[in-house]
Amino acid sequence: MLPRPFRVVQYRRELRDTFTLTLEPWDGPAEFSFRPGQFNMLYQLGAGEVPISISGDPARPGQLVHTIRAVGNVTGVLQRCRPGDVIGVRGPFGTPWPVAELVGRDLIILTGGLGLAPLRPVIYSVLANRPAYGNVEIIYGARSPQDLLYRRELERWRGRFDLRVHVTVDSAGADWHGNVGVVTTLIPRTRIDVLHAAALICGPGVMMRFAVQELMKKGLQPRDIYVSLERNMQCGLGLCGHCQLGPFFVCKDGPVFSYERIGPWFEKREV
Amino acid sequence: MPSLEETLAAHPFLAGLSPHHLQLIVPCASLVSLPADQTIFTEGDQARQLYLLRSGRVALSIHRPRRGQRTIYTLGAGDVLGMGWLDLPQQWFFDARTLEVTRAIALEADCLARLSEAQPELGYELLQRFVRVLLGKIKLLKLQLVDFYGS
Repeated sequence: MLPRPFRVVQYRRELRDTFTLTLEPWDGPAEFSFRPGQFNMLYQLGAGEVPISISGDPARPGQLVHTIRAVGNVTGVLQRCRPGDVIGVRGPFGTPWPVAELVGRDLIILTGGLGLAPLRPVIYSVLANRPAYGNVEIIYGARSPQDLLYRRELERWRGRFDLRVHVTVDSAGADWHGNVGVVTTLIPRTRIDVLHAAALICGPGVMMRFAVQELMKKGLQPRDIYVSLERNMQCGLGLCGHCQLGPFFVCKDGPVFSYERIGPWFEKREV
Repeated sequence: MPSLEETLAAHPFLAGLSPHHLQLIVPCASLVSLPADQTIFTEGDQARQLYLLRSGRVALSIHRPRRGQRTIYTLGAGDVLGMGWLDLPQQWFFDARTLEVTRAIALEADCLARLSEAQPELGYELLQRFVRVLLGKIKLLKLQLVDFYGS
């Protein structure tokens, strides 16, 4: 599967090391349909390819939006891209969040750090069809107030009457009037009917592990908890084996799994 | 309007305590309502009260010379604030300040200590609950040290 050329139409600095690229097909307007939770392989000539979750609105398939943290060679090169530059895109790959299947239920959308990016399409989808869901609560944690991603959007979501948004940071100065403490402390404050609720979690592995424990303590069942895993994905097709986790290839069988399915492997220290 | 005993029984820290034990605690308790941005206690002051938060939010912070206050934890409804009196020299470890209007049950520490001496069964029950709260806090602070988002 060959990369398709896309032109950068917008570069936006999000945080010190995190940025968002908005892309459009290089060869003219065309739709690029995807489902929330899927990812693309972004290719930069001479540098290589990286898997990056799609963080834009699925209802706007004319533009591809990726929020990226510059942590390595390829993402470092992507960070230097500006409007007009062209990069290669393969995808979309992977399993989506079960947004349609969860209609009618209460939702906890729990995320930390850059994990908000792969869940943002879920939030857009749910808000576009808001009456179809029960109570929806977003729980988001970051290291400090300066590390909060999509801060303006968080404030906008927080202003809605049909959504509860809980934000916490690990430590803060006196000018921060929000919550301070680990993200799992906010789970008991949610107002959901555990018998009809589902949780979607994306964030660092340690955070997800403790979040799952806390959600199960609240009464959610493993089948009602969904996690998005991050692995060394290279081919995106389940052929190269780099992202293998037990019997699964995360790029093809994931990255979104129900905890009921992935639980036994999720807890393994090294696979 | 619920009685003070009923209000005590409704707080998670005292939930499940026998009616007899709750009646014993009532003389140690009072209901307080604190406005936003009010200092509840300051590091180094004598620790004389325990607060069972019913609503609102409280920030625990530490003062760093030349660098100002750093909030290390916030507490909300159902949480327990202020256990500095459990150990000598019975001083507060942190500063506590309300972030919003906060309602709480204030329990006099000396009163609770005397009660626990006189009624060992109640003292043991309270001690178990304090240990549970403290272990929960230690676990959370350990997780904070892990630096989730840097991993």
